[in-house]
Amino acid sequence: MASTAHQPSNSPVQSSDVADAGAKGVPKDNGKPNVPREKRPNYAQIHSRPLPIDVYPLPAFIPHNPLSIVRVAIALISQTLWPPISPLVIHEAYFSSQTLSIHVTDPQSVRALWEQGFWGKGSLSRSEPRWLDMEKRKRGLKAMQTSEEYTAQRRRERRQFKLERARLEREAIEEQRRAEARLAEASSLDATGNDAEPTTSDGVVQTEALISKVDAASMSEPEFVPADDDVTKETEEDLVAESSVEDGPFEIQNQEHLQLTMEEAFFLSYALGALKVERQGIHQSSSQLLRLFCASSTFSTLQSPQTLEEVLPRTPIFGNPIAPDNPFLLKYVVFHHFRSLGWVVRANIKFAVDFLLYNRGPAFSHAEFAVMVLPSYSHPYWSETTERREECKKKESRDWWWLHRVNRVQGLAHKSLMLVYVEVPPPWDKGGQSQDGKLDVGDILKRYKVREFVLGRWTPNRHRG
Amino acid sequence: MTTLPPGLKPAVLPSPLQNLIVEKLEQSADSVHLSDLHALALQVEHNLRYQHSWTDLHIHTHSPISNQLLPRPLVSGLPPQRLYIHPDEQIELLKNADRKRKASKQAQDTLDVEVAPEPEWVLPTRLNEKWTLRRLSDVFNAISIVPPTADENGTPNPWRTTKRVLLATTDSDSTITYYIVHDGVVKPRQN
Repeated sequence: MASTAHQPSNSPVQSSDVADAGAKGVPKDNGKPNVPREKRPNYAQIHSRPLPIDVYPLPAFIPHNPLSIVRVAIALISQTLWPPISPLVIHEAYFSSQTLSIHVTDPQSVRALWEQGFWGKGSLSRSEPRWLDMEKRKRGLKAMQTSEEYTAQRRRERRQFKLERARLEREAIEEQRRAEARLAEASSLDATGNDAEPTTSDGVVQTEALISKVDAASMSEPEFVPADDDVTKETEEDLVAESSVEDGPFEIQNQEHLQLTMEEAFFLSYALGALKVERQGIHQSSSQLLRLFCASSTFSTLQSPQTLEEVLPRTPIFGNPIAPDNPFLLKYVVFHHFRSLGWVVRANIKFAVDFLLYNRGPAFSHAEFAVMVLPSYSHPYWSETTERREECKKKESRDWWWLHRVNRVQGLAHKSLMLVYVEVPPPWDKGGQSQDGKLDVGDILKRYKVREFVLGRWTPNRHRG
Repeated sequence: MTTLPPGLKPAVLPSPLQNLIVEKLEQSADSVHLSDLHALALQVEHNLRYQHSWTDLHIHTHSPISNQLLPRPLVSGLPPQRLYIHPDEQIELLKNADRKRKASKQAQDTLDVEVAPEPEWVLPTRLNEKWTLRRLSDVFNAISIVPPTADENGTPNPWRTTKRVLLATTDSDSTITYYIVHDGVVKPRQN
């Protein structure tokens, strides 16, 4: 603070106010923060690129500076002659038919995909791949706290609290029983019941006292965080005291990989061109990927005795055209829709929905919306025959219980439920039209339409005024 | 990467999980179950071992009771903490812990409830499967109350009287959710 006092101050008030301002933590104009800030990673910097692509903006045009036009012109011409490459790095992944998923194993790609748009999930972490950090910490190689450990700590505290509460409740019940036993004894001894009166009231008072104790205890319950939302602003996670002890003599083999959902992989490779997916060492084109993902989304071990690898080679050519309401396509259309609008879309089975929508990403805020994908058959094709009508009705219909169940879970987790209807077009894949089974992905996606429908539960007490 | 032509190196290194599955499936090429179901069990076992620090993990293909083929491979293992405490057992434990705390004369002590972990059955499934009560009961009929372990000298928990499995559901984003499923109705747990 001494430096501030020495400054030539315009107002006499400033110097006397210094202590006060310092206490509030207002940064002074010398730029030195007064309060030691908690050290936490700068998420805005780490995740500064919302997508794993490179952009080349034109220089700014300043109207009163005619030279700026020249700079714009030079940039335009040079970019036409030598078009810049985007994305500079194409990540690589492979499709694992044994687990029906897409794995990324290169550590640099894993970091990049997570940092630039929150793609994928660490297979052994809740979202950000941090298994290795956790393992190092477990073995005392690194002093840091990951969000998983913070959650474990919180759970321990909650369990301890519940045990204490259970004990108090138990004691209250036993006290009540004793009081009742005494009452029964008294009434059996004394038929007139004159002496029974004080005993009873005494017993009741005692139990009430106990119950109020329990209430007091439950008041002090730590604020219940609805669910393990993915790594969010758990600040403690990032009070990282990275006393970077060198990695010990033995090296831990990283058991974790980044796993992309099929929607993410298809968006990265088809829409952004930032990912190459291979299967059995062979790079897959967009239409091959579409066939592959559509086939594996309907593949179930229970229906066929073969493995996916045995089923796949036949699907593109013989008789197995992609249904227009294939589950992968419906989900991908919704994924593409929201990703294109700038939302970070993440799959989430833990909230019993198809997707969660984050504003900037899970590191910045909790998800705002929970998305449920529903097919809608309003095209006239689907009501042409009675069989078709009945089948569509079966696929479309959900009962009220279903809606209440889904909405109830989201209400507890403070998310708004969004029902997203995908208009299913008439069948477009006639099966084996062309020899190689090539598909025009853009044309297919154009046939689908998306309708959003946000749902909220109205409670009179909360929504008054 | 089993079907890779010789001499062609994959451009992307397979993940440790993928290596494990491929290696184990090769070993048990004449497996009695579908290799797909076996891969699923391996995936769940890998997750339990490394993410949740389970120990003593085994994959069972045959029923420990009848020695018949199980509906699908099941996993058994020992979790780091107890997963389920019967409500009556909890009352008993709380009483003991409270007595102990009073004996130590220090009211500030926290209630120390010590429960030893118990081995559990795990049923690996996929999210797009449809499960019915009949199929679940087929699984329950084939398993014992406690999975068979190497050391039989441990005293069995007197409160563990109904069969239970941990239903592991894998999603395509690698999330595995675990739910405890009991064979029949049990006394509700205090929350």
